[in-house]
Amino acid sequence: MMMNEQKQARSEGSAFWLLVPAILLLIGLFGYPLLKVLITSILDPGFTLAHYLRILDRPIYLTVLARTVEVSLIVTALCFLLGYPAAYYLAHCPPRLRTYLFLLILLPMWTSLLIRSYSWIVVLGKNGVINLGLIQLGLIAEPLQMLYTTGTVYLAMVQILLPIMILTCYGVMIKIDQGLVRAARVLGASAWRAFATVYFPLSLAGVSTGAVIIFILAMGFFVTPALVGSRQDIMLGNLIETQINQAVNLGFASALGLLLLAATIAVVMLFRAVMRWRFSHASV
Amino acid sequence: MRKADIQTGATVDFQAVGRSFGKLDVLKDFSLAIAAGEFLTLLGPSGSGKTTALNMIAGFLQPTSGDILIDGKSIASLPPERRNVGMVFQNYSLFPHMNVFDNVAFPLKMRRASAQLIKEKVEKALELVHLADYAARMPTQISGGQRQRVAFARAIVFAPRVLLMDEPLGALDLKLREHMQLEIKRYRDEIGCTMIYVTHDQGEALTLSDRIVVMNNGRIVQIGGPEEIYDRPANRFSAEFIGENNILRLQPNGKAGHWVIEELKQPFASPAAAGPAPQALSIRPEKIARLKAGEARGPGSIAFDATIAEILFFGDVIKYSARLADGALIKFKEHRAAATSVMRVDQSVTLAFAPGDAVLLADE
Ligand SMILES: Nc1ncnc2c1ncn2[C@@H]1O[C@H](COP(=O)(O)OP(=O)(O)OP(=O)(O)O)[C@@H](O)[C@H]1O
Ligand SMILES: [Mg+2]
Repeated sequence: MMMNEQKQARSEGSAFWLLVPAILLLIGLFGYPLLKVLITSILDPGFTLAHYLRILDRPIYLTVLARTVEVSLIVTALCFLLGYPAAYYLAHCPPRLRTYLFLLILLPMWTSLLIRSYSWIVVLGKNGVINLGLIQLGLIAEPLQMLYTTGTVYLAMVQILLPIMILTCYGVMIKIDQGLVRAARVLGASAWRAFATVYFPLSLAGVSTGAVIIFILAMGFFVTPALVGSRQDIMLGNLIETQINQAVNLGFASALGLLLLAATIAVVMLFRAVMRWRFSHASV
Repeated sequence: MRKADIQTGATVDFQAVGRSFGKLDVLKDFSLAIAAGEFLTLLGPSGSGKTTALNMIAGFLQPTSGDILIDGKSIASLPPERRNVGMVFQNYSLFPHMNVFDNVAFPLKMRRASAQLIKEKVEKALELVHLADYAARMPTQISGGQRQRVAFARAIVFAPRVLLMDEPLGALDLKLREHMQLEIKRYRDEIGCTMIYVTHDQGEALTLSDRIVVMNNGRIVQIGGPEEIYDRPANRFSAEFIGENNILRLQPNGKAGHWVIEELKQPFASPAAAGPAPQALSIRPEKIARLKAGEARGPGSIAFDATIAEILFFGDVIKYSARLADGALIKFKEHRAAATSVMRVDQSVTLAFAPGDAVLLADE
């Protein structure tokens, strides 16, 4: 370990300049705007905490924030539940089949988020494919209300974010030495226990990377909930969008934006702390 | 670890086992009875099916024909975890997310041993491999040789009755290999289980084994003790694969039991043995002696002239390669103590060997 760290430190030092373009880009395109948002949120036109007090003043904002976190966590969990087995299958299926399956998983990612959200309207709407089909089959008389429900928000968000979980898990799984699973088996572990004690802990790195990315992206969603959700399903992103486009209150929008950022960072840090704790107590 | 803690080894029987992958027959009609407590080595070149044979005992592969018995009972229907065999892998396969203690404890935890018993047994196993102080280290924090020993401790901690080792020393450098060979000999004396060892290193096989199974292309080529395998190779493959050897072609001389050695243009006689007609003879380099000027050759020995072509200096021994009249090369070696002086390239020498040291070989 110690030697590794020394080696790493040395190579990081000598190759630091490789990072310079990325750092400049981050400072210019991320650091600067963020600073600007921060300043906008406390200057209106002089120094004021009014925007932040307003957030605390009315319950709606914190309620929406809580729901945003909740929706994002549930979406992340659903992506894990659906994506992990899919990634496992991909990592262990014949390579030829894998190529085709990857194409199927990646194709939707080439399509814009807007189109992917809209297409749910075509599928789930009152005159959508499913309702028309069910009526045609005589299974229902009236179209079902599927669009503009919380379930549809989950459905659409999971559909959009799932490939990320599959890809990050797959990337880690493909590198897990199958010899370790065999070793576990011959040393007395059933297939299930070998998975639980060896394979799963070793694949956790992919799970946590995917979960963090998905959670962060989900926290910022607003197009999808606006298109396919009900009025109760608005997320913090929708409130920010309203403040910018309708109320044109940039100061308040900035304050809400920073609230979203702070909440995201807090949850991600909590998550990582839990993962680290799990790892340091890793045992059978 | 005291002997009393450990059950004695089990017998392992391969009964006409075959294994194919698609059209490729990797193991063919493989029959072998391994005695309880025996140290048996599968020796063969890369691709000869050694790992395949081992994996079928471990339960990672099923035979496509035939059966394998442990202690007389077929293991065909048992999954790996119910076969109760220990295994040491070539690349160790230590669990990277567990420290040394947890790695060694793994088989015991899988068997739901109590925490107290686990602690006791793991400590004993780590003592056996001289790693008692390393229990808290992660696998990345110990050396290759130490990892190998952890893998060994993990494989024997649950007192398996059969221990499988697939080229366990393959990844170590020469010095460490030799040290670990001695270690394995020591473990072997301390634990009573049947050991099945796979290697393509003939020196390792000769050093460690009670019996060696020489394999080629999925078939058993010869089975025997180290001395037998070395002194009496059954066929050309064994003769060439194990140790250094000179192979000389034989031409029948009309009479049964009489030949002409092609390379030496000299007659060679031996009581004709039953079986396929021999096509060649092998003679070990150490069985060829250099005759000093004026020295008479032994009665009945086969003597011939050659010129030194290549000299390999090893300190204690010197290996020579000498060119015969017809251009073929013959290897011989001398111990430093016996050698009067190191020869030079192009020097002319007279070499001789006793016909009794030569082994007649049929092609395979
Ligand atoms: N899963 C598999 N599918 C197809 N062929 C295989 C498979 N496993 C092994 N083989 C083939 O079977 C033959 C024997 O393989 P095996 O691993 O038993 O050799 P080995 O004697 O252990 O060789 P080495 O010394 O290189 O480890 C090889 O030709 C190999 O290519
Ligand atoms: Mg092998």
